[in-house]
Amino acid sequence: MTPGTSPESERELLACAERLAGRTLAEISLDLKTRLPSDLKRAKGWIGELIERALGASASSLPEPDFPRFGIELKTIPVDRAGRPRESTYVTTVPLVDNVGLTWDESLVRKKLARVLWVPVEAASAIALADRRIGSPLLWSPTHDQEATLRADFDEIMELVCMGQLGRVSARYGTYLQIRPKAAHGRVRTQGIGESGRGVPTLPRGFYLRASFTEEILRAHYALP
Amino acid sequence: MPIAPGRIRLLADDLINQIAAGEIIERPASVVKELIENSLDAGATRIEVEIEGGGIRLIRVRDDGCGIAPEDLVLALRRHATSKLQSAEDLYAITSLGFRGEALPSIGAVSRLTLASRTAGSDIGWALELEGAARPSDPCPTAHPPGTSVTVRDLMFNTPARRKFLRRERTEFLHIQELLKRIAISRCAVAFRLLNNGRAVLNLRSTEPQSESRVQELAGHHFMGRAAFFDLTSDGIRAWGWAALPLAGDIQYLYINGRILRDRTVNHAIRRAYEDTQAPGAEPAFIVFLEMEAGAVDVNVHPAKYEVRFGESRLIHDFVYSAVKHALTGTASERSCLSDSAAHRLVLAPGINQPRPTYVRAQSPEAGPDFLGPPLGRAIALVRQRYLLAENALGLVVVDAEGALRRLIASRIRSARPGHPVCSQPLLIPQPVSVSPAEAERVLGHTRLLERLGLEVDRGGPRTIIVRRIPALLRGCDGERLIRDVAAVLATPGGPEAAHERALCDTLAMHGATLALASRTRGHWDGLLREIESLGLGHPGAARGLWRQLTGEELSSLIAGGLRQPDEHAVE
Repeated sequence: MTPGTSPESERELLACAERLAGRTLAEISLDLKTRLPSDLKRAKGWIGELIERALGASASSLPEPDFPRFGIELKTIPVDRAGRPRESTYVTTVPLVDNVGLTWDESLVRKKLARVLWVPVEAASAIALADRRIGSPLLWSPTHDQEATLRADFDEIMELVCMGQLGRVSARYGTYLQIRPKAAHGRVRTQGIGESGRGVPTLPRGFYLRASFTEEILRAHYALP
Repeated sequence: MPIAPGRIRLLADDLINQIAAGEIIERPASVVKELIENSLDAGATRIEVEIEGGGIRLIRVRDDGCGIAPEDLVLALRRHATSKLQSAEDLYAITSLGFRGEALPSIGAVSRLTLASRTAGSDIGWALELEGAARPSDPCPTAHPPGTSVTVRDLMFNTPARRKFLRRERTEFLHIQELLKRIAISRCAVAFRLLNNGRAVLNLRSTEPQSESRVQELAGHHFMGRAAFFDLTSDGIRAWGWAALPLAGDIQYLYINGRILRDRTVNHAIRRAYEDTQAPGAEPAFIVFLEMEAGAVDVNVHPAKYEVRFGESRLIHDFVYSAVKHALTGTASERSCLSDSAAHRLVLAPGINQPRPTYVRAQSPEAGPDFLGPPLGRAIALVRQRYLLAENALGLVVVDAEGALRRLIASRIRSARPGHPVCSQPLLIPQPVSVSPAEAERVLGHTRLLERLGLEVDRGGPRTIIVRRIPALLRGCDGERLIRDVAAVLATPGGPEAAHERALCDTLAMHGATLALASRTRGHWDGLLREIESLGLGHPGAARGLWRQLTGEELSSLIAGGLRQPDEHAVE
């Protein structure tokens, strides 16, 4: 499989990710004939998109996993020198309306987290963007206990969202899963449900995995000190 | 004046009181609760409750509390009139049972109520009457002992719809009796008397706080015989009470700051403690008192005040869980449940409440050779990142911890065979190592062997080797040094692969041992000594050169100037 073409099987996808492991962002962008951004702040998400392209993910914002054929969601995860995730991981937007009766089992969060291909990327600020290397891939599914906790988090958060308690749902809720504003800037507004049960304009929200949880996942798998 | 339909108007006071009564007064027992709480807030030491016809015909609560001043009597029957709350700040630190100023007018709105009271200082009492929606009568003098009595007749006479929900008299009385028990258990200092249709059903004398005799009288021998007392305080929260084996009756009493509580969080914590220690599904039996600063809990949630809101419900959940769990596993308080007689001692589960076996074998003269405790003793110090000093019954033990760890790890790696490779883990970021072209060829020429030992490498270029996986035992090791050492082993002129394999094992083991010693903190030293013993290294002869015993005698002669037999345990 050449970089940028869609994998034919899960195996091929994993093999392709294995081949990326150890290579630098500069090498990969050269393969894909793209230019490195000079400033990562202005190109948020560039690394994720680069890896998506390199692995041939169907780049779309459809409500389904990145590799719908195998039900695999691709997640790049920036890590520091000690192997700790540098930030929380975005999963999907929080359904602020039309969420009555939405259960964990049929939620997009569950669909996306059922099987994740984690691709770590070096992110220590001392390393120049071009020299940052890709880590070993990890094909992961939540354990029974992890899924139980995720489900409890989801239920707790969605209860508040559905009851119009949006103002109360801060990032402090949830053990693994948290909810945070997800927007380019603070003035973006979308429709949500207010306390009175009527629609109110509010910031779009996203489900994120806490960095402490993704660290737990990495720690269980990799030879970290 | 008739008002056009559809227009908004204020409700009349009597209607408001009836609506409020709907919230507070579910059944006669609710009336009894409100009245007893008023008595307790008035500082009563004796409370008498008289019931007739299941409380529907008559409820009379008499106390010897501070009484109500005659000029306040009328006000007491007005809604939102109370002596228990002055300002909004008081609302956040409520120490009285009531505070809303709703009970009496609400009860009065659905019954025929007589309120009579005499304050301690005055010679006579005053009484007034209130019937349903009517205005209260003017207070008139009456003969009354110091204290207050409230008589409630014909409950719900004017709300027939509500009255239909009441059960038979006997059932309603049982509810009242149960409520009185619940309150009485939390107020041992107060004497209670309960009369049903003129017959005394309960007669409780005032006792000490936390009195077992009152709990026993109300919860029964069966409960107390199977209950363990506990009392824990942490972070400003105190939880105390009794937790009993399942099948100790249906006692499930919960209080917060002396108030009866129904709370999902706390109940959940208690149930989980039972689930985790008893047979799953066992029905808990408990009396739990929670005490905390009044400001840490919000009781202004519902008019009946059975529900509260905690500032930190998770903290309280976890605390109650551990308190009850400790009680159930017999590790909480030493206080026995009722008496010192063996019959009453807690028998939770086989062996649970028996004193733990302690290390007493050393004192028994007929004990076998292992009475000395573990052969390598207890660790005291790590010297030069390599030697563990330990003390055993004979004296001092010096253990070459690094040497022992090397043997330990090597033995695990050596157990790897084709098809059973050493457990390995990927590096988060594959690590490139610069090497000479010759080194690269040597290492990459043995990838099969290395993989079996848990080391997975790859070519990164003519002068680069990429390390992808390492043995799990070597988590956190320096990959670059490891590869150089591996390359050096493979550079030795090629004997059979088995020779290489043995040498590679030793190299990996050396890296693992250094790492393990650097990462193991003081608390892990004893565990390390036990691991060394388990390898059989702890027995004399099995591992000469790894450890050495210095007896007390040897130590003293060492200080005095030289060991007597310097070459007996020579270190390799």
